[in-house]
Amino acid sequence: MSSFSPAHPQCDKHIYKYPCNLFCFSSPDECIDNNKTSSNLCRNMTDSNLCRFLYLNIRSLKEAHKLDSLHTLIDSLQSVDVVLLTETWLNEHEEKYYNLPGYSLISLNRSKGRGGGVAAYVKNSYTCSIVKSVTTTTHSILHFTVNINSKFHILLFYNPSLSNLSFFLSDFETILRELPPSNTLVMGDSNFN
Amino acid sequence: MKADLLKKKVKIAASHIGLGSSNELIFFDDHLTPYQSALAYKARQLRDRLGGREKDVATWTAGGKVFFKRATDVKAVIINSVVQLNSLGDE
Repeated sequence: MSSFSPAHPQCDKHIYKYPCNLFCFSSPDECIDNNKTSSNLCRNMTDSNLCRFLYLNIRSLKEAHKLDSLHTLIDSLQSVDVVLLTETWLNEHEEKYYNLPGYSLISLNRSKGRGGGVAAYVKNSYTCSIVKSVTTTTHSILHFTVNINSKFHILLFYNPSLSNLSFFLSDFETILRELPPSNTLVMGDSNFN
Repeated sequence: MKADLLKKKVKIAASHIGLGSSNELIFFDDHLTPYQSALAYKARQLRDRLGGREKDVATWTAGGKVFFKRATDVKAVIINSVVQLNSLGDE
């Protein structure tokens, strides 16, 4: 298939402003945590044995050039294994239009209304499966597993500010209790502050 | 302005706005941001590659957004990235 020219040259600057987290695991006990803006990340962590997770509060994938910017960011970081996103704002029938080449999409959207939602792009070469998902008109919690060298349990959640906190916490606690003690990554935006 | 006229199904000729007595119709183009206009261009390229009007593939702009519709789509898709266009072309 003939492909279009690469993404818009301007678009990558946009998403670089966002604070994002890149996590690398080499073994279950060892975690390198880099909490920097994404432009600083590109030079770090080139060891091919690490599993790379990227977390980003994207604030609407539907906005013009967000998906292009994300694509450019992932390209520049090289071999990100799992991309975790919060606030995707997607609807169920729109999911099929938000594929990234080389990745498969797991998306959990609000049960009703716009905004919110979480999503994960997992590299096609890894098998992944959803263990449990809870989604309401406000918060979304997604628990899934990815097989990269070993099995990772990933919990991805989003809870908007101004929501009923106890409602979210009870769902969150239920799922947290089911998580295994190792190889687990919990990421998300809880808006607790 | 364009949307208002489309809703009212009014057609404007050159004579209506004082450009002589010509009955030549006047058309309006959306003013797009550079990014959206690049998207619209790529969408038109994709439409032609997929067979254009003969295959019921269409693309247009409205309200500053780019729309794309294939014969198999129930609803037009709002295009907001190049990645989306590429994946539409892959299917």
